[in-house]
Amino acid sequence: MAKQKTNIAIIGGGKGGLSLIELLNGLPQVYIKAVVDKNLKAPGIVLAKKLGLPTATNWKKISKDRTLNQIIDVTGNRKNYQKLLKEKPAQANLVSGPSAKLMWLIFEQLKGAYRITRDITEKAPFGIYIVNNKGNIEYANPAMAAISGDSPRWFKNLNVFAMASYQTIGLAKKIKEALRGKHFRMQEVEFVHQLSNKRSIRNFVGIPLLEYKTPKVLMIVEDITERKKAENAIKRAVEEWDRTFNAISDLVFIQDQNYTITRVNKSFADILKMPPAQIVGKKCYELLHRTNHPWPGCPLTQAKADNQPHTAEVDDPKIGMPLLVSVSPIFDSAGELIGSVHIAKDISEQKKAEVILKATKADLEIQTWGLDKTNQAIKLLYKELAEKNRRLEELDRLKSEFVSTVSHELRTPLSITKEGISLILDGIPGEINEKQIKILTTARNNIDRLARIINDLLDISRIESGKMKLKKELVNIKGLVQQVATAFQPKIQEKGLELKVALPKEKIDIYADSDRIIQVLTNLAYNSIKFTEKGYIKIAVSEKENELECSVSDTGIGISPDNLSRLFNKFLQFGRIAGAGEKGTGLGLSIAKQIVKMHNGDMWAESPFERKKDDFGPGAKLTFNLPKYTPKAFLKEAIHLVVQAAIEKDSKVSLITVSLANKPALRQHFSDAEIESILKIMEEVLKSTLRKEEDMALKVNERVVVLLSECDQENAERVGARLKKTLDDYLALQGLREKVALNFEHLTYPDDTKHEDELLNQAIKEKQ
Amino acid sequence: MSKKILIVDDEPQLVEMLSIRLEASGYKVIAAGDGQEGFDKARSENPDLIILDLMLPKMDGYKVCALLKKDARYKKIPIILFTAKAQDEDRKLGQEVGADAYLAKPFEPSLLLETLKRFLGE
Repeated sequence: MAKQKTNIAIIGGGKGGLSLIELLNGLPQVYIKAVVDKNLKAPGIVLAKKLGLPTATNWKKISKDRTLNQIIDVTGNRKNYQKLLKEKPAQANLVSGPSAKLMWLIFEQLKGAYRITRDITEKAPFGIYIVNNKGNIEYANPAMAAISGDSPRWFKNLNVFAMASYQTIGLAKKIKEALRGKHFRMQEVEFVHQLSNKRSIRNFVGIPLLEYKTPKVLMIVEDITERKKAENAIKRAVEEWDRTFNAISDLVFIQDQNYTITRVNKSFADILKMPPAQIVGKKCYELLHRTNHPWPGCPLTQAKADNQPHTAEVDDPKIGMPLLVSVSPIFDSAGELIGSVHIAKDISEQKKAEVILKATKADLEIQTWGLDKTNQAIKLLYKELAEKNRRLEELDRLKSEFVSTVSHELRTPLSITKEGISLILDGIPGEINEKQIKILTTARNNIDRLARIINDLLDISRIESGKMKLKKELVNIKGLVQQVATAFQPKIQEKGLELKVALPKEKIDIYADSDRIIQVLTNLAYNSIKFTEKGYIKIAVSEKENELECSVSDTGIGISPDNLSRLFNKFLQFGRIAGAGEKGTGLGLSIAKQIVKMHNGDMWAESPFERKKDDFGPGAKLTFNLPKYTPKAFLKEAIHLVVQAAIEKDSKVSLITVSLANKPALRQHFSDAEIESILKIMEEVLKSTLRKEEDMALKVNERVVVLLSECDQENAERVGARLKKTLDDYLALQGLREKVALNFEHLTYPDDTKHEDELLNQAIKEKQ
Repeated sequence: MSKKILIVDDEPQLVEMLSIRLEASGYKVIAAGDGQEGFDKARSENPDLIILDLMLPKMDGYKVCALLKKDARYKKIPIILFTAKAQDEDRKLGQEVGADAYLAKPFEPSLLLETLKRFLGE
């Protein structure tokens, strides 16, 4: 067959033309050069325009086109057709004749009424043949010969009534009926070739052709052997898989990522005494553990967390037997976890014998298999995650910048508005009445609220972008609590509440940023007052072995379990506000928790907290802890931070240790307490002379260590000299110059030592 | 004689509001809309106190403050920084250039008046 395209013109845009366009357009070997109709609204013309095919209103114009191979007239207008034949003798075989009739019938069967050339019949992908009333085959297309397994010539010489196979499958009988005018259709007929014994599966359609003098039958045949083969192969594979799956004596089931069972094997169904159909679709924890939440030790939960296979002993009395469960995660092509294969072994026997099997050989094999499979998927997943993470970080940075800029921009108009309202409220432009005062006061309060929101937003954005730096120093936590309690006293009294403060007797010093801890306490107290109408607010501090616990509790309306879990989320404004209260920003608790976390502590909430008196609410208690640092531990952390920063910036860190010289002499003049306070004052003096925020001065035992970030040896000596002068001046001023002698020592990272611990040890080493 | 206060801020509406309040409290107010003008007026008008915004066109508030505080003739004039940048870093920078006080926007009118009184020795 020629590979060259057949250029076709279709005359007539009616129903016939329309069907022909639909049939021919897009066929690789056919190109529709024109669709002709006088009526521009003819459906064939409309479709041709939609498909971008050329159209014309007069067939004569296109008949001059020399590249046209076929002109198909579907108008049924014989006069026009005869003119066309005269003008285009080269294409005289275009329409009419048995093949055109044939195609007309085929398409009638499939689509509608039109005529087509023999050429297309010849190219049809399905078998076509015509049987006359004697059973002889009058015409067969090449596809039919191919299906039959005979040469076209041989096939044409066959008589269908004489063919044993046609008799066997009843096709001869059907063809005879068709010769009497009855259409037929036979599907998935297994056909055995007479000579080769080759089996094939075919679909047959028989169409009576009654227009001829003697009736004929048009046969359309489709060979579906290959398709059937493929279908059967899949079916067999599925059956085989099913059989294998069910033959496994271990309990096997497959779950999706939501713990829903999607498939079970026979052993598993047997042990549950339930048909598989009843098991599929249930959550494994509902079915096995009889709970409404995943079993705490569920290996799928672990696999979901790390995308790794897990093996776990599941010993839930509700199942009735101890199981060793091996879970292998299943990933989709994008590397997303979509479910898991669970293989469980009844290990009651082993248990009975008190043999603890950590992993059977089978489990190991399963794990290895699972690991191999998952490894690739995990790699892909991580790559994707890293990329996503990078983009998220960038987005986050932009967001923080945006919040910061917007917040600043908001302050100026806010100031103008507030000042305007304040001016009127203060009566400067003239007197105002009570009602006006009330309205303007509300307006001004809300401007203050807006300002609080902006501050909180800025805090959150600074925390999240890592811009918030803590200025940790030794602070007296009892003092801070007192300070906050005093500040809140009027507000609490105003609401008719009682303020209770419970502090330990001993003074507790911690290393913390005092401003930030005040902010935490303030946010907690503010929150408690907001939700408490009766009873008391209690701020308590208690000392634990390694940490300090601080709590703010109340007898307010409490927090619902639902809100309790989301309490520290940003912008959680839950509906626990009773009546018209002062609205918060929804950020206070989130900020408080984050600040505590920056201090290496944690914050949590409990509710109900208090139920002693019926007229009080259930209450809530928010607690945070802060680790207690020794000066040494604090110095260690600080050294670690500056050294890390130095490594990143490829810079240096210097330590200057200021210690008291000649201690025996010193002790003759001063008591221990006095020495202590001299050191304390020295620490303060040194602090006030520091160059930048990252630097720090810290009293550790009987010395003050000055930590200088981004400072090399040379620079350290300069700074040291300056510090010495400052201290000397100070001591002279206090009249202590003669009695107190100081030692200065320098140490630079990485010149003097490359180890953080060495820096620390050198700094605090007790000298003779 | 009433004390003279120079307000340097590029927000004329805010300057207007402030002027109303300060004048009502008996102060004389002069204003400048950018850093350069603020610096010039500080030298030519010799105010008793300067309220200085930080983010200003032409010359920022830090620079104005630093220049004035370096000059022996003007360094005695109290400068109150007045800005939307209320973060710790900004506050610290303000201290470094020698500002005498710091007020964050939006401000409390009573706090502003108290601060003025404190610096003007009333």
